[in-house]
Amino acid sequence: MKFPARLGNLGTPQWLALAWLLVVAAIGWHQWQFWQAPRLDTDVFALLPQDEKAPVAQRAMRQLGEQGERRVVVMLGAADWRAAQDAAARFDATLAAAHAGLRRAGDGGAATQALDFYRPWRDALLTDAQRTELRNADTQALAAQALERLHGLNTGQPTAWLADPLGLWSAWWSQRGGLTAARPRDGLLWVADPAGQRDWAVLLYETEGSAFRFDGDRRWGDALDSAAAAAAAAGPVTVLRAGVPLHAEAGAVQGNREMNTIGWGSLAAVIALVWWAFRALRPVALIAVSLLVGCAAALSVTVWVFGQVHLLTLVFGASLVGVAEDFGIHYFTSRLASPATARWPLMKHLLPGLALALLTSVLGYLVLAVVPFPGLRQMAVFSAVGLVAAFLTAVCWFPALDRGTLRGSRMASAVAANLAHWPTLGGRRLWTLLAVFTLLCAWGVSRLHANDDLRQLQSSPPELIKDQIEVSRLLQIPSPAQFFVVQGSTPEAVLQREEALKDKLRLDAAAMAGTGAPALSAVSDWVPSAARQTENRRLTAPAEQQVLAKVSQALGEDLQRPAFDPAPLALEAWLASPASTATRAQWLGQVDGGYASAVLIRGLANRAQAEALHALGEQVEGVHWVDRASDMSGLLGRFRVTMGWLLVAGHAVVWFAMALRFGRAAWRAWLPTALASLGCLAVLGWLGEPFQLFSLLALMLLLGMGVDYGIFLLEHRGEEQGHAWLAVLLGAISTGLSFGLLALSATPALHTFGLTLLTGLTLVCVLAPLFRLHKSHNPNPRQA
Amino acid sequence: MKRRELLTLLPAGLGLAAAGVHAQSAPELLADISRRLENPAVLRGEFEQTKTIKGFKRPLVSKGTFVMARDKGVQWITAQPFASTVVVTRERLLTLGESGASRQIDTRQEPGLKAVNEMLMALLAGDVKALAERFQAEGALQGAQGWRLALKPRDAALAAFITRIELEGGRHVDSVNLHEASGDASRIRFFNHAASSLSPVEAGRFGP
Repeated sequence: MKFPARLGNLGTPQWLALAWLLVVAAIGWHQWQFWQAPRLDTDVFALLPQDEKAPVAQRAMRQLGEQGERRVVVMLGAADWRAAQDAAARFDATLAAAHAGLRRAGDGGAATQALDFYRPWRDALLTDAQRTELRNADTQALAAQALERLHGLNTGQPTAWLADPLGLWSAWWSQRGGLTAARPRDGLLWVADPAGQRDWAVLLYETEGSAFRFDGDRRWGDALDSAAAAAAAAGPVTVLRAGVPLHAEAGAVQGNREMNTIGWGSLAAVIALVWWAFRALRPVALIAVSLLVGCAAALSVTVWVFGQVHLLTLVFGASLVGVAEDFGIHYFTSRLASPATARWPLMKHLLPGLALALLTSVLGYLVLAVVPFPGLRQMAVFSAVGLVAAFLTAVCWFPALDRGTLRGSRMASAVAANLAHWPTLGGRRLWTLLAVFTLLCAWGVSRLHANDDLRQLQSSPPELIKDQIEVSRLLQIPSPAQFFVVQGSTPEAVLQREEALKDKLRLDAAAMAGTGAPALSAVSDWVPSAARQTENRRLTAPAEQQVLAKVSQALGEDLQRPAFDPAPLALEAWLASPASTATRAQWLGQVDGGYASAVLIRGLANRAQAEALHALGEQVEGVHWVDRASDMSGLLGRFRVTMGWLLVAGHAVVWFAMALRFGRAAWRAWLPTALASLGCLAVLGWLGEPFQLFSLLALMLLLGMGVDYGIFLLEHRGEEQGHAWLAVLLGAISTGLSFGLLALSATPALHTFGLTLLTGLTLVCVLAPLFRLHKSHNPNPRQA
Repeated sequence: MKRRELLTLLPAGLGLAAAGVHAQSAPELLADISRRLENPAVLRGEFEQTKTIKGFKRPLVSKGTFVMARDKGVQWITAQPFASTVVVTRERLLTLGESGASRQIDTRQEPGLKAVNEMLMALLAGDVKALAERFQAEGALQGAQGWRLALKPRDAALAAFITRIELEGGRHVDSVNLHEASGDASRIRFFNHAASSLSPVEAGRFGP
């Protein structure tokens, strides 16, 4: 960094401070605008990579996800239906009175509407059993049954007798109803627990409005809690709650809490440390300003680049407070070390070291962005920008705003002097320590176990997850992450392939292991392919005409079969009608130069069953099995391996960079971090914490930050070294505290990340002084 | 061929629930009617049913006997013009045809059917309290012993099939008029009521 000597002699270059002021003002304006209506994301899948190889699976996941985005399901279980009904009435009344933004969903007219919609195609809709029976129909027997039914006790049927003389339609509708375990009963939905003697009433709600608020309030959750209490007032009732909005809300509440704990906790720690070291308001205020500018700039740029910011980014980003203060602290400790030096020349003197430290840290963060996870990219951009902004604030503003003298506390001097008492290592002692340390680590590392489970990113409260699983089991909701995707060149081809898939799985039902084959849910259940409809009509028309003729003869009537719509039921008409509400999301439309749909699976009992279905289904042309959870876990695993090699390469690159500046002494800056990384792995092994992608990413960041401490200690010699040690210690404590707070996060990935860095930084701090150069030894780095 | 003429309640999907809450209405009238009705453990008698079905010139008339066992169910034994027996209980709907073939549907799988069965049982037994849960009732007492009652479904799903039911009676239900949404109607008259215990055959038909 070359700077005109004249300007430097004049003192602070005002223009630099002013230019940065303009940038900060722009950031402030943007921040003010952003918080008016924060665009926050809480969906775990938003953090995961887009799978470019499978756009259809991607579309299916999105569409199926959007379907349930606003829905909340409440189930009330009691010993009998009457008690469940009463509990449901109390629950609904209490919730309605609370005005918590949850609206009762579902309306009574829908069933009638659906009946009316399908009526013109009644003759084209048959169950598989009916098709088989009609193929070998004995019209004489059918006519006898029709006559019996005509004269028997009337139990109602969904269409006029003449339009369905064989009474076929009810069975078709029952099968449609069979797609969920819930049945309408007395104006509610009813489910009987297959395991226990329990009746469940099901209530459906939708969230109102689109405003997702980030105020840490548990609005829906609290309202549901008090409604549940009201429902249970009259007797023992089990209340289950499920739905994406509840998870999102729980995530937001928790994220808000964690962000505040980490952010404010770190800030308090930094302020306390700075106060303890300098006993002056000025360093505290200036460092707080640099942190504030850093965080604000980070958020603004992240929103500007990604359009919105994920909640986990904010939680992670809050730990930035403990990292970005390093520059300020370093500046002020240097002021302590050489109080006579003018401020700007001092900053100039510090600049190369600070810039190198910034570079390694930013690189450490940016490596997170190498992995194509949008979530990690956000975190990387957030942190890198935050660091740069805090650095620029320190460089541009501190020399201008820092006036007067700085005495420092006696404690600070004591710590600085204390470094002299730390032993340095060399010769046999070094090798002994290395050997012992390596042995200990090897033992810990041998206990490590890898875990690439996708659930590391999820932090929903366990009771909510338990409820969700129970509701899915009782209602037999199809698995949202394992399903078939069916593709074809035309919609008709897709529907025909769906039917082929259903036939295939039905034929091979016997081959399916275990109890009761799972059921499929497909668009073609609701709109059979045109070919299937024609086939059905070829069966119903002659049978019904013959039965009508025989009944006419028996009763002396002249019965005419009414005309049905001559055209088959078209997919577009169905999609546009309210009859498709429940299943519409499964039609994926035009994808990949053709058409596609999702065929869902209900009642998947175990992994073996899923694998059997997978193998059988893919034998049908145009059918692919999708298992997002295992795809993602596989991806996490692959990136874990890649990242492992990248980490090794990273260490090599850092050593090389160090060598350029420090020559043969470079290993002294590098080795503490390398040993600490090994130590981290060992600690994870001892604690039984899973070894995962996020542990490796933390080690990558540790490389970026830990090397800084080595650099600071090597950069400064003689008297300065003690104060560099003070800066390293202050920086490491505040950084460690921030990541220690992150380790408290309920999100497993963030917990691992925080824990790894906390362990790593502590180790670097203990190890770094052991490898520093002795005072008398002067390598003069500028020759390198 | 499986025959399932039931109030299948249908296009399930979770979104299609009907909404509605039951409430007691005209409680005094219903209490009065209840008091006028006899309520024997087993009631038997004869029936004549006249069905008017859209597209048919003539009404369809059938005759037979019925057995109503309180807490068990109803047996509907048609003698003319075709012999058939329908056994309605809370748990199932059993049809015994002329040919001897029987068909059975379990209400545990079809709660819609359960609702229909309970309604049929309540209609024939004159179980006014049970009817009032599903229907809005209005009516009047007639003379010293008689009464009449008109019922409209409270539930939208039920209303899709049944628009109106009229009942008349004294110590027993004497007639039921059932108007369906499709325009069809059934009129059933009951006579020669008698109270006696179940025969072994009848008891057997209700099942274990």
